[in-house]
Amino acid sequence: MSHLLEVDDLKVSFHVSSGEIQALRGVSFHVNSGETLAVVGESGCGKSVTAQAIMGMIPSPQGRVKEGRILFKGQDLTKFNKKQFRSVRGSEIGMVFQDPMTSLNPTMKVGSQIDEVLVKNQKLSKKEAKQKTIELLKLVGISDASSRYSQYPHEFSGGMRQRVVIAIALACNPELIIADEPTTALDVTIQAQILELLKKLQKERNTSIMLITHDLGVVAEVADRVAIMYAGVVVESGRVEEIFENPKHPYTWGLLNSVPKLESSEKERLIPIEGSPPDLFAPPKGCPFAERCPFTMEVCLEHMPGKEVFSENHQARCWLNDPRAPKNEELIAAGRE
Amino acid sequence: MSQPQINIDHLFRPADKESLHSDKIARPYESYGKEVIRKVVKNKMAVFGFVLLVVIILLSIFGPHMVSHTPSKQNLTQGNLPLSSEHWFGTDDLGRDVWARTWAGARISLVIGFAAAIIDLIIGVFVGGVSGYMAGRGKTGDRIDNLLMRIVEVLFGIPYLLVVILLMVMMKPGITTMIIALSITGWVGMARIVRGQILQLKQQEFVLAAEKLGTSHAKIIIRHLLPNMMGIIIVNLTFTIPSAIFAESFLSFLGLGVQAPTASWGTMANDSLGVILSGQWWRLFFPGLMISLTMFAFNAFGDGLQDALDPKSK
Amino acid sequence: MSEYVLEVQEVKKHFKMGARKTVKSVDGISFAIRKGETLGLVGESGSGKSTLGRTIVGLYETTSGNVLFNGENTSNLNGKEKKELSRQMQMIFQDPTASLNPRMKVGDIIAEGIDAYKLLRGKERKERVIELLEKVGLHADHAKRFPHEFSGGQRQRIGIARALAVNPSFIVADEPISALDVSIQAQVINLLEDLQKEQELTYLFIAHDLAMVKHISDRIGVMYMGKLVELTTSETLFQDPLHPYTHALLSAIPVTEPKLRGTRERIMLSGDPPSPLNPPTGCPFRTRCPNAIEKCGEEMPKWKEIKEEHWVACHLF
Repeated sequence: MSHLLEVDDLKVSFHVSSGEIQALRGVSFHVNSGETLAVVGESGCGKSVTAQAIMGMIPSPQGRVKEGRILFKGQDLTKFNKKQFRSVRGSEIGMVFQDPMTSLNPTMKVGSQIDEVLVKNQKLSKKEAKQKTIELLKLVGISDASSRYSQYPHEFSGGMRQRVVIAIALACNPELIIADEPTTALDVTIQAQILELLKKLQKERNTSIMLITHDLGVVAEVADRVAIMYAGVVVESGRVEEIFENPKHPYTWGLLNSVPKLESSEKERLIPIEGSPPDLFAPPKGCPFAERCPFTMEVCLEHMPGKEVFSENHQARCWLNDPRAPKNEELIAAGRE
Repeated sequence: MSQPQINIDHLFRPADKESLHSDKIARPYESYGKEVIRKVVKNKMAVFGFVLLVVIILLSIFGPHMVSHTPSKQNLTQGNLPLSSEHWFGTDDLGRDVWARTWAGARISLVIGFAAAIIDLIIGVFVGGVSGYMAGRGKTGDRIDNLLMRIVEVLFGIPYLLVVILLMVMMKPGITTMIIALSITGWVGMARIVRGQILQLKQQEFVLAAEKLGTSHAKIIIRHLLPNMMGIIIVNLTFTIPSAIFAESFLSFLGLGVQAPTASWGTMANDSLGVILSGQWWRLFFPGLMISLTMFAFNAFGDGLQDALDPKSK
Repeated sequence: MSEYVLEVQEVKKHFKMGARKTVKSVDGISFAIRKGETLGLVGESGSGKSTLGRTIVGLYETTSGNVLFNGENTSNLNGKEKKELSRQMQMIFQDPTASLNPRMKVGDIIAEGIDAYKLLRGKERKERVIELLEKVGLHADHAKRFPHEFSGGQRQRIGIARALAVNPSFIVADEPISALDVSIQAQVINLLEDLQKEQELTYLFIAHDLAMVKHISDRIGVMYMGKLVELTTSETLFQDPLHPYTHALLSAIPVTEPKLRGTRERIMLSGDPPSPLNPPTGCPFRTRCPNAIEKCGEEMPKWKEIKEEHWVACHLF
């Protein structure tokens, strides 16, 4: 089966004065058409770098793709030059960032910014573009679209701006939207609105969404499949139910445990993951989570675990799933709660 | 990643976690100062400017002693001699050695430049600091800020030539008068920059934290605000020094600055104006060259420093 | 002495914007916190919750109203008494990067309050710094390092140690975890809970993450546009919320598991919060409120205790 987007063993490094930071150390995942893949992880785990690599926006000359392939509809994006990236970015992959202000031009009318994309990529006339823009603004839930058309970004609230950015991303009917923390800067009531909007648009247009987030609540709301990243590798991936109900990696257990349960009425102590993520300046040779893991074995410190496959979609990289690992079911059950 | 080929069966047992310490700091530490120096060194123009500056300063100290002639020793029989092994930069109409005079003049220029810049710095940082810090601190605070800023605006509006001429009339012309004249209006630029920086910095949470912990106003300014704007202050200095040097030369050239027979780049250029057409080019060329080189050196170094202090640069 | 550590009475904090306009960031808020209690304060950005926190600890002067600490009116005090009172109320800040001076060593940052109050000197000061570092889970040799060498969670611990150094009894925690990663948030929350038990601290915990606020707080206050609209115990707020804004806020929280998807009835608020420069008449929420009645535009509803421990400001009750 071919996927819309397939990232295969992607390695990206940044060179700074004091050495090399290995931001991605062999990342593999795929996005099927019409589905939402959530890429989850903490700051520095490489989730944003992955998005940058797909969009050809890794800051050079410090950063560069060292190895691996990014196949989008069968084409390898890592071989693309700047011009090819530009055409893909505008028309086939849409982008939504955390801070809507970085993707909007503050000195340009909101409508003109969407027009511009349409005129450039779809070769529409000015008049047609304006009509389409107003339709798009309505689509993303901006009331009074025709008068909003000629306002500037600063006249919009944070949530409204993010809607405009989504409208720009949708302008050319892209097959894939990459949304990097699209709701992190927004208030919870506005976040709910934007998530609803994304869900609705996906249903109507069958767009694929690669949603990058740190918020498991957002994942539980919208994702079909999940890839959990840690220290530059995907440690576990699977369908959203598999990840929440039958997680196979201690890091996933830790993430799920460290969020308070709204549903429970008792006041339970939170179970944090002790310590901090490793510095990718000098990544550990074994499992990157070994230092913080409650179940570390000697093998974890020495060797990177391979992929253990549990179902068609569900796989994890953890030595605990190896048949040779001692069956300390009790401990694991306690860790998983 | 494939499974390792070697036998790892025996490693499947709990690891000794005592030896692990995940809160350690792995990355080698580079202090802010070292980082700035590294970035400046990478910038060739900045390094060139810095080296040029050092050479000019060294020559201003040792230059006059490298020849047997003193800067003001006249020898009318040896007037207007061209460049030679005896007189490296030739002589002027009174037979004075231009090499010796050029470096003696450099002393005057550099002293005036540095002194004026340091006085600008002290007054500017004090006034700007107090003004920016007091702004928004109740009615009294706003009043102090307003008063100081009005003074700055008034001084900013007065052309400095006017002040200089006035001072020269009232006081004895010379280095001190020159420094006073340049500083009276010069500090306002620094004050404005410092005030702007302070207004920005004092919104930062670490300043609020210090205030909450009962740290005194003076200590907040000295320990929290000034150290975080040192970069901008230093960059500003590297631009005020050359402008003070240029002002000195310009005023001396007009006859408003250092008075003859004291050598300064400005007075030397002025002296040689009348003879430039008669072919003694060296009398104007060397002081002029030195003014240009000094300005260039400061600006090249200052630019590099500014880039290096920008946290966004790598 | 009253049972309350802190009493906030009709506090207002208005900011002048230009010559004529005023932003009423905090507009007549009253509540009280008991000793050893954690009061959570939630609200969206611009609701005035951070301004309220800063006003309470004295970083901002009140425009009107009183803040009573252990029964004493903080604005009536002067000099020494004021400084002593100020010592007992400390603050933990939101941004672990901006709240530490990048040019100071961690040891000096932590000792800042010790120095300002001249509590300890020399060897004793050094020992106290190490004790504080260890208390928040860091190491003695971290004192010689600079803030940028630490991760976000570690920096927040340094901020907590700095506040603890002067032995406060009341701490305002202003969004202390919102800049931290999920796995680190729990570490900091647990630390705050342990310290509370150990040192009998009282917290005002400001946040926008409702699940975390529910976890740490005994009671929760909900703010909207500079006003407190509801205040009650954590359980009651989540089980039996009264104010329509609280309803909307709670319904917007994402589910915690995918199988619960769609089980939560969403109250989608129409539009955005009104501009603070030009607030609506009467109740500030009426422009987005699904249950607004005519009276809401005419007068601001009174702040009243509907049931025991359940305060609300809404004309519907």
